[in-house]
Amino acid sequence: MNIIEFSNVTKIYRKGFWAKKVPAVTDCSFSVEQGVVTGFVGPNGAGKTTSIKMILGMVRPSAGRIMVAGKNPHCPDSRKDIAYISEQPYFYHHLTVRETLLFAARLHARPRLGIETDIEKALVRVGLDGLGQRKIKDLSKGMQQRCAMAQALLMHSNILVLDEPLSGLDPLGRRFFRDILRACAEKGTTIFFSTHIIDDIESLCRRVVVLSKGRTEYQGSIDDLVAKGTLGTDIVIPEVTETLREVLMRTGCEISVLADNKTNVFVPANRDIVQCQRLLCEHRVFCESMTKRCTPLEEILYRRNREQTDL
Amino acid sequence: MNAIFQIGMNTAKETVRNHVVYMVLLFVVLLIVLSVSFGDWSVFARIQVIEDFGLAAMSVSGLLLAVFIGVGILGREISSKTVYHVVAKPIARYQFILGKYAGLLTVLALNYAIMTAFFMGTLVCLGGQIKMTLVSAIICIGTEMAIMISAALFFSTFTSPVLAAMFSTAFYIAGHLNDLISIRYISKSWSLYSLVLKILYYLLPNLEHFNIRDRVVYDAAMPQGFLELAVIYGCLYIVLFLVLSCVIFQKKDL
Repeated sequence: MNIIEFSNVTKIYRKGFWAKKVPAVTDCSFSVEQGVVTGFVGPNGAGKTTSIKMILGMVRPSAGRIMVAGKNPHCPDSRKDIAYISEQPYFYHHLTVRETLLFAARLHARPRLGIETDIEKALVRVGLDGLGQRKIKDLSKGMQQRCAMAQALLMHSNILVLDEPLSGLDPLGRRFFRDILRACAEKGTTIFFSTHIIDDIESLCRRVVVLSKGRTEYQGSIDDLVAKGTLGTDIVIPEVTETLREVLMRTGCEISVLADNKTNVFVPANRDIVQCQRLLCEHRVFCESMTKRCTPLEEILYRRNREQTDL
Repeated sequence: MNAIFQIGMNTAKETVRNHVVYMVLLFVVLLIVLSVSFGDWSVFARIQVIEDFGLAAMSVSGLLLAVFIGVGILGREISSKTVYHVVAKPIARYQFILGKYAGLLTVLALNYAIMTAFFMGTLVCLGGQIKMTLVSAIICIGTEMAIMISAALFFSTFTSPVLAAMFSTAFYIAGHLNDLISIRYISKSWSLYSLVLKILYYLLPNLEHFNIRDRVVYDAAMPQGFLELAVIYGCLYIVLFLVLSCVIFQKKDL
């Protein structure tokens, strides 16, 4: 079941005195499945934040249809089950951490009973225990981001929408966030998050939506995307005879000698690897290792965009 | 209702920390204190001068608070993006606007109550009396302040804080000069010009309805039902501005 659906969505901003049309998202369609961690990738200005704002009803689409949990995002009920974390934590600086969480809980119409205990639990979970009485303005950016995460956890929301939540965090903070997100995903929470950091996509996501210049470039599983970027297979063998070299090269393999006098046989993705393996067996050569040679995910994700820019 | 209350409470907490509220309060207190000595130089009785000055200062304080706090309350939320923290929650946009207005009004009403207490205290100390017309004048100025804040909030929904401050000031001045328009359109024979003036007259609120200082100073009687009608008139404008603010903010891309 799709929890978020974008159907041919276009958003055109009007900027400047003459209300010049600036398209942010153009005929964009994608969906986010329930209970799946979906990454939202794209270069700066691809339309990720605008799309997220449309999901949260902050921005109205110029055309197309958006459904969030089966409802129009402009209906407040559509946000009942959504927790949102923005790139920068935008909190009221005059409130304390505890007041911020309480304010958020009350806007979510959380019952008063047990809310204090839940706040304490959320603060412990994000490592802010004992800092409840501290003013938001006195917290570092990383700590404010933890407070945003505590707020999301406090709501027990089934959908987490995150706009580059890990950017600007130190490695420890990122790891901490990833662990929390992983735990949420294991509980079945739908997570939709935009990021530039490919490591985060690889370690957290099952699906990915790639946006480029406001258009959906790809949507599907990470595995399919990686498979698309498979270049071939590297087979390391101890030695190769002249006859075997010729036979392998006739089948389209590339032979190279490694530093330790071992031989690497590269079987391109468009060649039959089973035939190569059979040939090696016939010549009584045993493989020492077999590894897939893939284009890095980052390369796959941004290749198309770069090609468009070069043009 | 709960969301409006929560947003209102938060806005009140935020506004209480704004130094401008205390500066305006100090300004009014200073004017009232100065009016005591002005009374000695005036041809009028000291009490009349204090009444006139005090009420005028309280009226201007409404404009100052609307300009310095009212216009910023929404603009600041949008520019600092704290609005995201609220509108991403399951609340409607109109609840946000009404909450903001309610919170702001609560603090300013408290501020106004302190001004009133000081003003009345000064009057009583100097031998003045708390007349019914004086109480009516204070209620009228309070209503005018509530209109000014709703107007400031309305202007800030579609323009920058600087422009909203300018519009609010222009609105205050135009509202107080509205009677002049009616005199002009009655005296002009040219029908189109007269029609434009007539439209302007009915479009702009007549803030002079809330100015009954002369009646207080000269101790003139108020027409029957004047106060009630003035308050209803003011409330209608407040409702109009809040409805327009909600409609515009509902369609605004954040």
